[in-house]
Amino acid sequence: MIQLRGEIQEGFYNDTVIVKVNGAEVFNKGPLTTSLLGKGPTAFFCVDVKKGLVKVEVFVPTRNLQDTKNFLIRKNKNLGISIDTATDFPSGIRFILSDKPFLYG
Amino acid sequence: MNSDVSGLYKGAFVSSEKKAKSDKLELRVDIDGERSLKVVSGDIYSYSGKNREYFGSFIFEGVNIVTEDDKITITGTSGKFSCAPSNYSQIRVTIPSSASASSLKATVEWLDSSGTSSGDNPTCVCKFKSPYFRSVRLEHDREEGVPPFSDYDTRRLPCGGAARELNLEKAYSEAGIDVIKLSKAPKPIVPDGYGGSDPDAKWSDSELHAAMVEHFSSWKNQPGWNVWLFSAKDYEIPQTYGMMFDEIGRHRQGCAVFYDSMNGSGAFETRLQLYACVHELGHCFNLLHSFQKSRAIPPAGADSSSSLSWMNYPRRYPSGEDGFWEDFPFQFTDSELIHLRHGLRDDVIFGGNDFSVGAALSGSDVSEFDAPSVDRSELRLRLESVKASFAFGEPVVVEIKLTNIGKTIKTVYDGTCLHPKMGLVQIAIRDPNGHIRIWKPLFEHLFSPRLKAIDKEHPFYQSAFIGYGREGFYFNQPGMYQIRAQYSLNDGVNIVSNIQTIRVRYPHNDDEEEAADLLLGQEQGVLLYLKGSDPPILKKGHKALNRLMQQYPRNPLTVYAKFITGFNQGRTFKKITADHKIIPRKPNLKVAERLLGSVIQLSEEGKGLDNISLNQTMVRLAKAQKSKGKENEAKKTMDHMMEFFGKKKFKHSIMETIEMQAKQALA
Repeated sequence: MIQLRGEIQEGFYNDTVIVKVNGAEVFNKGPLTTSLLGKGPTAFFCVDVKKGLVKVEVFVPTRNLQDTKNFLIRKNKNLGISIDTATDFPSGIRFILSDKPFLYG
Repeated sequence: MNSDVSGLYKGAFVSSEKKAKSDKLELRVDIDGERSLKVVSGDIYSYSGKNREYFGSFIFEGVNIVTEDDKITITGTSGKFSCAPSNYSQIRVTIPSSASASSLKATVEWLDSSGTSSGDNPTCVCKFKSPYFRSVRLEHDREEGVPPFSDYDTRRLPCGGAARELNLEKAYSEAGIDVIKLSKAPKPIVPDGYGGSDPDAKWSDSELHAAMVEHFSSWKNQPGWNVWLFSAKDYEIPQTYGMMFDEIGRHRQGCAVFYDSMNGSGAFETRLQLYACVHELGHCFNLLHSFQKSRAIPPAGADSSSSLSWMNYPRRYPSGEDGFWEDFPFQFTDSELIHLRHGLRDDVIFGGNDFSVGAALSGSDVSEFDAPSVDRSELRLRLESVKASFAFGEPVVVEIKLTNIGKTIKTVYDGTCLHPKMGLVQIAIRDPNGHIRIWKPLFEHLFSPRLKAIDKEHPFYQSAFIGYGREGFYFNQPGMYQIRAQYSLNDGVNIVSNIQTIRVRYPHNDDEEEAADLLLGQEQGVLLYLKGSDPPILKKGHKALNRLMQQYPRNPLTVYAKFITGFNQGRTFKKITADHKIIPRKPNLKVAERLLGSVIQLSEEGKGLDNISLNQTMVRLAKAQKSKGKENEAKKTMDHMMEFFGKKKFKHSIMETIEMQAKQALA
């Protein structure tokens, strides 16, 4: 097993966030509001997953947003989840997968 | 900083009022040099003996600059003030262009809303003090064991800007802010009670604040231009490279960076250390993250992850962290520069307004409306509100002006194209909640724009009612609004206007609120947009306007009901019958004369319409009189119009246009 650390990052304001990994709900919290001063992630979760394809579903019912991504993961990873309304992210939810820990400030 | 006249000037007011003699001005002129912003701003201080008290600030964006052989004249017509200005709402700054930096002087004159000087206006002669707009003192301490950060050479890794050596002071120097370090090397602080003696101890916000109060030699619980940066080892919340921790008492006087999250001396680490220091100090200046601008109070614009700014998170950039660094020129955005250099003092000064209150003055913020960094069009677009503030429910009208500031005649779309309903000028409106909407016309206009020559002496004008459009009312709540226009020129270049602030006043009582409600219905909005109309579908709107006139005859909003109804009754209105015949409804001169006559009288007394709408009213009345064969009355109306506007001392070109309108109405 390897570990996937999910971080609820920026763009949240009194929002509820639900995350399912491989169909199982691993995170359900709210209201969540991102700090204006970047005091670490808004919230986080850790989940053990098997190496290979991992399906991540994110729901933000307070904004009527949802998105699903599949990631091929072979070692411990950090997954950033944020709300980003830029055109590059049409669902409004942005995923960033990284080997390195995310930094805030 | 590399400029001829831009920078900080200081001087004392000279006025007939005794009190004003002790007022001093710190003036910031930003019209040339690198990344000049065409802004004039200042802070006013009152002196009583040796006691200095902050009085207020002002800022004029999009100033008009006229350079002559011997002087530069800068005029600001639309300013933002930290406190309500007295009778003076415009500014003129004159600087001799041939003087050396050491002898530069700026003469500042306050003008009334028509731009004229009455002779006893407050004036101030300010001496040039610094090419920097603001100067701050930085005390940089470090926790024992944290090495001092070194400069970063931007050539070490791919980047989007010029090659140069950068450190914290140089980064702010490029932004026009002089950061003076109080000590050459950060003083090592041995943790003793703040972080604990355990080397692994992590810092909390309250510990950091206590450390600041203890170690920051310039700390006072009051606004000042002194700030503390602390290089510490680690923060209690993991993965934090830096923190503006000071949210106790007077905010924003201290920040910290945490070495353990970015230790090392390699290129990546040194770059991150520089970024962290500039970024955290940016928070002390009350700058928010690029992607959180909308959470400022009031909102400082739209959130943007694509900003190439010290205040963005690299990983938020659309093409990711590597893409950010490859594009990043190591600088702040123009909006942030306006805040740093020119923001109202309490919005910027350390210990001033709480963090996020008044963060980032400029709300260009609809990214496509951001001014290009280099504008070679030599055309100036100005957006001006016809009133300093509007009553709740009052129709918002703006004046749009295109000026050729170059020396040669240019060919552009003709003046009618300046009206936003034609689709070439777009107006972004940011409401008091920070929501940004683009004004959209009620109907799409398909047309072939005509080209016309524009010279320096004959600007193009349009007046536009933007209170109502396809999305309904745009100013339907009291508060501060910001608007900005963008014009797509015939050569494909986009130019943007100044940012105009519009205040919608709160109703004072129930009657004012009810009168406003009678004007804010959807049908009334359509009638305002069309300056009246006949279709039965708008019957409800007419009914509300009639009620407004009858029930609230003395309410200032009633003039608009009279204007709409009188304007419509003063013209022929074509009606298509069920059998497809066009029947013209003739003007009702009696009603038009009564209502428009009242509108004209009220407006001339300063209780009604703006000049452009008044001009339209007079022309409409003359046309109605002429259509009924009352030639003499029509001529009298037009003669009166010429006489009234002649007294306003408008420019010759404007009077030429009014004269032509009079002739056409009588032809």
